[in-house]
Amino acid sequence: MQVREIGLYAVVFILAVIFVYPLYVLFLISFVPVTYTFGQIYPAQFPVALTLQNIITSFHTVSLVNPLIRSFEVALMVATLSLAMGIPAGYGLSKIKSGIANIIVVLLFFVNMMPGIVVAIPIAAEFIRVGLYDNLVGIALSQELVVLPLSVFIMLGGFRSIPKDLDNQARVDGAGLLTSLGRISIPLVVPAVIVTFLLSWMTSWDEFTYAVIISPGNPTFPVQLYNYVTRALPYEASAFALIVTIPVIILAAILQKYLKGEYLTGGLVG
Amino acid sequence: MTAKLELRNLTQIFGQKVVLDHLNLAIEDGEFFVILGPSGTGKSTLLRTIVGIERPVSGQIFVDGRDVTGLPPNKRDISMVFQNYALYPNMTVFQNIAFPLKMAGLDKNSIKEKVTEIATKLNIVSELDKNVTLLSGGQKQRVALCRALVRNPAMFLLDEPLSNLDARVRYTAREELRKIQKEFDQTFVYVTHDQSEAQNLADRVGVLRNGKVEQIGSYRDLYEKPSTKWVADFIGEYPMNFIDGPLMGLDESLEIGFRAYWVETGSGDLEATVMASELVHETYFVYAKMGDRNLVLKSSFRPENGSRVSFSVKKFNIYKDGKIVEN
Repeated sequence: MQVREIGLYAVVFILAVIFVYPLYVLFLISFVPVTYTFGQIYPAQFPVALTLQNIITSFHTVSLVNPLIRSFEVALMVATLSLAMGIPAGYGLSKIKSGIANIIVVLLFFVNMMPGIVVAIPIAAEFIRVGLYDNLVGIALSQELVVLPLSVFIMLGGFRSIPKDLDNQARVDGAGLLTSLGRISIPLVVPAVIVTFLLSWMTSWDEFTYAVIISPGNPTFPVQLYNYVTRALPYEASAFALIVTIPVIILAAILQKYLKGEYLTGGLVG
Repeated sequence: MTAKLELRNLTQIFGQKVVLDHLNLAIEDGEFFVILGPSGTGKSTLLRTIVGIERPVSGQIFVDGRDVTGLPPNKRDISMVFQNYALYPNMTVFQNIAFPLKMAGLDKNSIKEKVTEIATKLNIVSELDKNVTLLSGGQKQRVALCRALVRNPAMFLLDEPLSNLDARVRYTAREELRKIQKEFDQTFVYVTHDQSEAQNLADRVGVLRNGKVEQIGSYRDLYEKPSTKWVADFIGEYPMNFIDGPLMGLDESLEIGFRAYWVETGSGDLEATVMASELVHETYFVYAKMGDRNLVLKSSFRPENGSRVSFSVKKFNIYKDGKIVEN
């Protein structure tokens, strides 16, 4: 029992280090004077001195405000779109035979099994033709490829967790299909809707591959950050990366409350 | 007069299984009709097909002479109480009962008036503001009934509405249900596997077997004159006893059927071997064997196991090839 507990804590500790250490490095680069970080061959692992100078310089030298706004707009579009399509798709799939529905969901994930680049390049070529290249809507649409299978999967799980007779009862009580969906089914899957929205938002917020290929001229935040890193502006980039991680952490904390098993595994239960 | 509900050749097939098999049924206006059958005979499927949740493979459904077979549930003017009550968990009691009225497009004031009226009648007016998840089983059942009754539809379907209640509540709920049906003078179609419910509620009972109606009649008819041996076996707390015709001077192709209550033990021309006896309230029931036939006989005394008990049959039906012979 005790050995198992120690093992468990060891695993948790290792995972925590893996996830937290990069953040810690960002923190060091952002708040420790450059002489102790980039000025050293072996940078200090502890904050030997603290300064706000890096942050202040960053805001003066680079402009990340526009990419931030762009990222925000795209993420909002992606999250809204993934609900607009995920809810009806999940509802519809919950109404057909579960075996067939499961196969369809797996097929939806097929696109994600290929490297993003492979899919992104032909999409970019097509978007140049139809005028969605270097365009926020274009990024949002292409990112939907990553997000939509997951949102359909979560919504399907949500709808499957509702007793079928509730919907039937609403129909018997005089509601049409849409009214029944709007008044009975959707209010009962609110947690699934929230999970879908936040997950889509977060996925888009730090999505890189599609963003960089579809819209290099109007970069989103991760793309611009990458540009600065490759243009030898690492500590500006780190400072902003740290700032931008904050909303994601807050979202994840909110999300945690709704991440009950049923919404994520419900989709698989026949 | 046309029947309130008429089913013609209704057939329902799920996969390979024929659930309803060319079922014909006519239910009169204002009738409390109970559909009785063992589980798995398609009772619930029948209700779901009538209300429109399931589409029949073939056959027609008429309500007040109007063919509703192709209509969605919300256009059929039939309300239904599901076995688990299917109350909307995201709404209060008031909102639950008001839902069908809202769907019908009534204005706020008349909705409030109607909901209060029906809730008062069914004695849950004090719970109107509560969330339905906080109610007891009996209260939930009454809310479901209110929601069905409030919009005054052509008829009501009830799918084993009492099966989720504990015995004591079930008894009072049953009485209440009967009273409500009479008071509202509405057509109720009620599905159950519980014979005592059929006995106490029904004007007429339809016995369902393998997707077909085996017999229709009052519970008394079903009990006293079951039209087939299968019904004779299914209805009653003890299955009907059958013995060979020649034992009572009848033709060899005939069988004699009689209830445990229709005999007198202690004397008579017939004899059976006692296997066991049980005391129910003030009467003994003797489990006996006559050749390879199992019998249950009412008795005023407890005969010894293994002994022979003689009895006479006071009342009986005659069956030929499993079907009753009218006499």
